[in-house]
Amino acid sequence: MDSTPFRFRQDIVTVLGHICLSGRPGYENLMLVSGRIRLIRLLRGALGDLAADLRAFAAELEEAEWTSEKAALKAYPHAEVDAHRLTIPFDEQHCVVVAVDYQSGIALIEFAGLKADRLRNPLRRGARS
Amino acid sequence: MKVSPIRNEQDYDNALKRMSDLLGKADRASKDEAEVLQALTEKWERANHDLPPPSPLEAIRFRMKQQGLEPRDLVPMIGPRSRVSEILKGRRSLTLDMIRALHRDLGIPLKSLVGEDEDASNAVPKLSKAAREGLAAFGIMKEREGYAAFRMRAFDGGPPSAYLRKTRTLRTNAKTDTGALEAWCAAVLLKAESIKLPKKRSAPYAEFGPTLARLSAAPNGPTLVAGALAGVGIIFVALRHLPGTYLDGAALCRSDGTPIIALTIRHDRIDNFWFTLLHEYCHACHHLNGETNAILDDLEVKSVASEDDIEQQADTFAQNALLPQSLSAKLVDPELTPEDIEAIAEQAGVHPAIVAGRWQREHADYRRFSKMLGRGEVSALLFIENDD
Repeated sequence: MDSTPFRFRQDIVTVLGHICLSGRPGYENLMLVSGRIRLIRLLRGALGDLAADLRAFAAELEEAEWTSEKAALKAYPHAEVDAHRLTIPFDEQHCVVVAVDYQSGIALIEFAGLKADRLRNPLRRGARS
Repeated sequence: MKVSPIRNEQDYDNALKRMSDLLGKADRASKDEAEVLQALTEKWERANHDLPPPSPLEAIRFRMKQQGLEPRDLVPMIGPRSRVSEILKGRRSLTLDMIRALHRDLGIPLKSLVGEDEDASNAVPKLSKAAREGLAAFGIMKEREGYAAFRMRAFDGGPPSAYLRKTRTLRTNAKTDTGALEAWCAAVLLKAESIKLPKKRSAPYAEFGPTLARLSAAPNGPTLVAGALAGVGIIFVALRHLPGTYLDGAALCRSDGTPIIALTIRHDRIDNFWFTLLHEYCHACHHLNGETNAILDDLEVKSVASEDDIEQQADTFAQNALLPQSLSAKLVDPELTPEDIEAIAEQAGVHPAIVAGRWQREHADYRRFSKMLGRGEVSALLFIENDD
């Protein structure tokens, strides 16, 4: 297999996108999820309720059909919205931050961990230029 | 703008960072690039970072928490309060009608409510009481940590099947309790995670075998093994076997690929310790790779040449490292005395127990020289140190 990185081109994007997406039944509606590693990293040290919540959240996100911020907030009424990011509280200490593009149907798990850690790290608050 | 395939964790992390930058931008090019990166990262995640599914109960509790629901709010979906209570306590299973209602009204995924199909390789095996007690005695489990969480922590958050499917267990006893075996592997992996190797070290190499064997001549030889192996980039773990595992030793890979040699000291004899150590050392040098990340050995089970040549190779390696062929030829004499055994051992530079044990096997006579085997001495050295 040729390992040379290929140049980003519109036609390749379209073809690759269709090949990858068409493997998922009902893919027109379900969110496309990335960043599961952040849940897994938190899961490694998690016990009890937090571990169960992380597994349940991952399963829900796989089945989410968010076409708008309103739909996301309906599922997670306690979530905080900051531009295109949702901060979903899990318990008093932990939260998950998901960046969402409702139009493309993409959800990226940007952060999973202690709320205090997120507040300490400005990059994780989405303060990107 | 370049988009490359994801081949490792670094590529994956970079792709996620790039996605973070792109999401929220409104132009077409950014959206297209984000879509491609999403497809690539998701493919990588599904191949490398499997997330275990929740149980039906966990899925319901999480939804209740997120929506601030009380048990009484589930009555329309489940039935009377008493039934809701039974479901939430795990005393009653969900019916098809309940599953439909919970999915329709609360949006809980059907897959979560139905629960995982009974894939035995991923289901948490029930540990025997003896194995549970043995595991607790290792002191590796966290306070209040259940076995499922411990197992998940050991196998890097993913299903153990992802790790264990690359395990060779041909040389194991038919009566082996696979749940206990998996628990022992998990304990070894977690113990190995906390061990640091020196920065200055070589890779494992076969010629180091005889050097390792000669450590046996020292009165505290087994305690020198961890340091010697660290010098060739191998982690050494001594961990008692769990009941039902019938295990002497194993060669495994830590999550970062570092080889681990783990011994159970099941027979607690000096000759057995050094033979198993050298056997696993051969596996660590030659047989651990991307295709095989764990080799588990019950050395009482005879290896079969046709199907198991790596076991034969490791046996031969251990025998030759411990006693060169020129000296092992002297063991054909059935009338050797303890003084002869000591003289041969001195010539080989190894502990007399190794020579005595070899003579016993050659002649199938397990009475003679039995007092020379150092029974109980290895665990006294290794486990008392560990306990401290």
